[in-house]
Amino acid sequence: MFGKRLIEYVIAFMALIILNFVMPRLMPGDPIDAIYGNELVALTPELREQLRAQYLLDQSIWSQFLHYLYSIASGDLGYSYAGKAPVIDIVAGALPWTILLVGTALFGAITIALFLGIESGWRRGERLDRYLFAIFSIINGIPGFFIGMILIIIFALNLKVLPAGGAITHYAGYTGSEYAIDVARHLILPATALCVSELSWIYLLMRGGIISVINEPFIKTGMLKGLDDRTIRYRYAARNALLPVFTRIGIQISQIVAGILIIEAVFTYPGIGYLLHDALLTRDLPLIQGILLIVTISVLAINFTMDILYPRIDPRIRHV
Amino acid sequence: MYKIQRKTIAAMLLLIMAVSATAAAGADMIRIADPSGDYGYPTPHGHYSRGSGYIQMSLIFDTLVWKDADGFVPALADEWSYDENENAYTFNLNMDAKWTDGTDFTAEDVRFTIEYFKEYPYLWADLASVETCEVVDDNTVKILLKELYAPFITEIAGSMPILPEHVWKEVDDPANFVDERALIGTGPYMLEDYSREHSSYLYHANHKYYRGEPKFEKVVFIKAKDGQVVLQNGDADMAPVKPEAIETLEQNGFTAVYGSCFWNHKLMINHHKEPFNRTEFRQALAYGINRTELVEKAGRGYGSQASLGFLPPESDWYTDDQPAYAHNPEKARELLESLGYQLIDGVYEKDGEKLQLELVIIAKETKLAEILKMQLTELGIPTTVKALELTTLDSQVKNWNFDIALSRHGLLKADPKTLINLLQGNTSWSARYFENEELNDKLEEQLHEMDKNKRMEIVHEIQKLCAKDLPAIALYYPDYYYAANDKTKWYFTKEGIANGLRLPLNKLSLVRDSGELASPRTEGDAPEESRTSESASATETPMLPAPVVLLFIFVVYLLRR
Amino acid sequence: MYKPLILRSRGATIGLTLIVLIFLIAAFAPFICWFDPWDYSSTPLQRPSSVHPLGTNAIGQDILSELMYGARTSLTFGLSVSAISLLLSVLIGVYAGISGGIIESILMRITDVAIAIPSIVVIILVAAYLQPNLFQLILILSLLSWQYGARTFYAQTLSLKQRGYISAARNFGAGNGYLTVKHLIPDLYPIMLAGFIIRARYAIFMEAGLAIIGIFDPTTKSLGLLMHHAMEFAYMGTWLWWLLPPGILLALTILGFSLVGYYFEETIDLRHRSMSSGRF
Repeated sequence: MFGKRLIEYVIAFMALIILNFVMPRLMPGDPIDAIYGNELVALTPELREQLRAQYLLDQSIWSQFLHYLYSIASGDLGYSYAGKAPVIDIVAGALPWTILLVGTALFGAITIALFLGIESGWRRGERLDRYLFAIFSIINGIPGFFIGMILIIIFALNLKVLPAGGAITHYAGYTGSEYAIDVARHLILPATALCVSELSWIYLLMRGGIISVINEPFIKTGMLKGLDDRTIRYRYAARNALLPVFTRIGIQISQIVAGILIIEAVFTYPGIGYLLHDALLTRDLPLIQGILLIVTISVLAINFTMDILYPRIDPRIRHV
Repeated sequence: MYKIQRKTIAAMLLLIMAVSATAAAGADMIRIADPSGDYGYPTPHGHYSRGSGYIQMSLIFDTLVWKDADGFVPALADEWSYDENENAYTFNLNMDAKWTDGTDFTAEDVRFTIEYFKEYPYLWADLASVETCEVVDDNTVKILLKELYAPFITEIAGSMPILPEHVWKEVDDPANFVDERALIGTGPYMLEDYSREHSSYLYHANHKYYRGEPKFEKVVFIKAKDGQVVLQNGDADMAPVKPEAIETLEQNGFTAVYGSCFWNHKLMINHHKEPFNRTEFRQALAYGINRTELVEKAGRGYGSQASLGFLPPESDWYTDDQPAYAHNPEKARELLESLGYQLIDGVYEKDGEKLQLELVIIAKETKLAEILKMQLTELGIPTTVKALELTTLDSQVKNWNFDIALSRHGLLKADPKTLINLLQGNTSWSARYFENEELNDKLEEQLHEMDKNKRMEIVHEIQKLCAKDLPAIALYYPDYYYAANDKTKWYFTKEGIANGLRLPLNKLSLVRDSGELASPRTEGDAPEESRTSESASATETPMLPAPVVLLFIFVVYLLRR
Repeated sequence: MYKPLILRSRGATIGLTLIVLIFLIAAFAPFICWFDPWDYSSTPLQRPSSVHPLGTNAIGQDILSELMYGARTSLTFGLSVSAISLLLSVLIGVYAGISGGIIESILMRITDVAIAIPSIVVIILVAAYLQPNLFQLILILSLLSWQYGARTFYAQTLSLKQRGYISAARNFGAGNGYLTVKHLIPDLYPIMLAGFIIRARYAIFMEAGLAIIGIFDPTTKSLGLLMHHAMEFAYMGTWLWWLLPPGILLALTILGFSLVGYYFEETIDLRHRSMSSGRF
């Protein structure tokens, strides 16, 4: 079972690698122009030759592909023409910020959504449930960037209590706890925006999950056994309700990735998403490729982990 | 349980509201914000090719001559002269200049730099015209040219950063030389930190600077998506902003820095293809396009109509003795009809074939394209717009596989050499127009005319020919706005920084004039600072209190229940 | 009085009302708007007024008209993507289920691989090199979102195949094609409808996301593009009438589709307990 899934993931990964490789070669024109565009003042022929040699653009397609595979395998994601640095270094610089932002936001979103989803689903039809359901159904349709911009307008532009963007105050000379507070202050708005936009769908699925198991025999059994109400809700019902959340992540992950990309761009938060946004703007193709490769690997890894975990948390599968 | 929750939520909200007060930077620090932020390692081969990369590098490395708002000023060279007989420039160097590692700057460094850039070409200084550089004595160099070359002072003396020989002579991979030693220069500031991940730069003053005391102890460059937000928020002292934001910012105590005619939106025409190969047809397009409307709409009124000879009226080299092509649909129709076109049902036809154009653009220029499309369609030339990805667009234009295309370029106020790049360069934004022999000759001639007045005349002729032939149609020059507080005075450099950069970030703004006394700088500035930030909260969007009040009421409500 | 089943659920009624309303706006945009959304003759960046209830954009086009035409494009995009990907799902899922054997395993293997591929990565990659127009983007997104439905239809086909009447028909000599058209497809209608709604919701949301990061045909007008352009001026106080309305309209559209989607999910869930995988 795992072997079969693993092969599928490897095939998916290869498909993306091939796409990564083929796309730039399909482009018309001299790659040097694609790299520098019309931003150059004057591109002398000597310089053009030098760049061409520097970027190995003269070799055949096959050797380029082999070289490409070899470099990926050895952890070399290419060289950013614009950034004048190995892609892997640039990505490595941005990754911690994304992890911090996404980690905080998703941790918050999952915790709050699970709690609210369980409580709301358990009280189906009551006032609390109706309000929560209505609020989150509406939020579910609002793109995260929109929430982010409203937050910027209120808290940065008008109230001036929180910074509008970035991850730290540059060269303020903060150290220790001051630095931590500074990072936290910069984190509040983007994390809130991301958290709220991811919160809604997890909540909705969680609530739906609870509602669908509420009448199941095993819940009834639990009640008859005289188990504590909370134990039933959080140990039995929640565990089953989590399943749709897990299965939906595969579909949702594209939207989550897009959401991170947009939120980081809106807040100029120096993570992978903003890096990609910038790379798209400046047309730094090697960097775009490198980032997408990293994203692909992460997404595949997450989905694969989900697939492995799924049977462990699904009592139906485990008990069979 | 509910109570606890409510209190927790209320406490969290209060915490968010309470975390406040941005650390305002002191008067000895200036922070410049910009949407892109990262321009690479600030050495000649390390910085990104874009203009802002050059600016970063220019804080550390000096050129022989420099420019301010009025024109050339001495930099590493105190004075310079041209000898016609020898076709050579002689520079008397400033002997107070020192490299930041303490070594003296000498004539040898200049000679070395020229040889170095000949071996490792630098984009911003094309040395093809330079024969050799002779060291006359310790503080004099003579640069001999291969041929007469008019743009020499702008393009080489005014753009080429001088490198310390004792550092760079061992460097054979300049792009990857990121040692601390790579940052040894003669300029007013020294790099303290460059963070690619945050796209930020920190410089500190070089107190040994030979042309005056640096104005600030620290100069910081940061990245910010929206200039207005960071200025109002107190996170930056200077930033590019939208023209519409100026009013609010001025009310908040900021000054506008305004520049025009540095940049041009233009319409590329495939003059290799029927019917665009007919000059009359191109002229008809020029008459048919309402360029005033383009300024009013696409530029929202912040810009000016472009002149068809490309050089803007603000340039010293401009002539108004050229066809202006004021919007004139009748004239356009006349010209079209003279080519055999007939207007049938609002569409021009020739030999039963309807006229139909495709305008290719990049996504950013959609709005401009929408207006052009409507204008041409109204004239009787139905036009469709197709957005392409930049590389594809460039390649289609280069291969003459298009009808009309939107393009853009800068360097308009630079040396008139720019006309060669515009008309006959090998780029996608060049018209690559060689059909007019007279124009070809004149373009070559002006490059080698050392007498400014004579050169001026030829350049005027070129503009006239260009406006008549219309190898491409210049549309409009957008205006550029920056806003800054009063820590220093910013300006746009005459003919642009170095080769013609349209940024108001001249390093001389960061150096105290010899005229300005070394007066204590902090006292005067401090009260200004607080005034600015206080008055800031009073203005802008009127709806500001609503969310705040709501939030506050919410908190109170939560606490009370 | 007869009341359709769907209107007995309050959520679904609200959802349906929203969808119908937005459809009406989109369909009758040319009759409702008193400005052509492409007409740039007004003064740029106007505040709301009786002439322009939502003001004008940066080149003087009426924002309200842009909004209505934008809803049109967004709906067209969403529904087209949904329809095409649904068609692919049904074809692949049902065909795999009916045929069995090697075709079944190949098709389902491809489906599983496709599920593993994060579609956003492919879209960004393709868009980085090409500037896809509306039609191409519909195709790309459709090709990237059929896989989830295919699994559901495959599972359904398998379970339907076991039913008595299908075996009976087969015993009477009915061929695969006949079976599919006569029996299977009609049985799948409710799931197709639910899948369609949920896919449409997803595609409309994706449109906004793509437009905001600058990957949408810029020569059209859509809700996402409207917000993309509004963002540029959002900090100048224009957000109230420029950014907010498309955001709200988008949220309401998605809400409408979601509510109707929940209804279908729930009803189908009750009828076919076994297939509540949640993946459509």
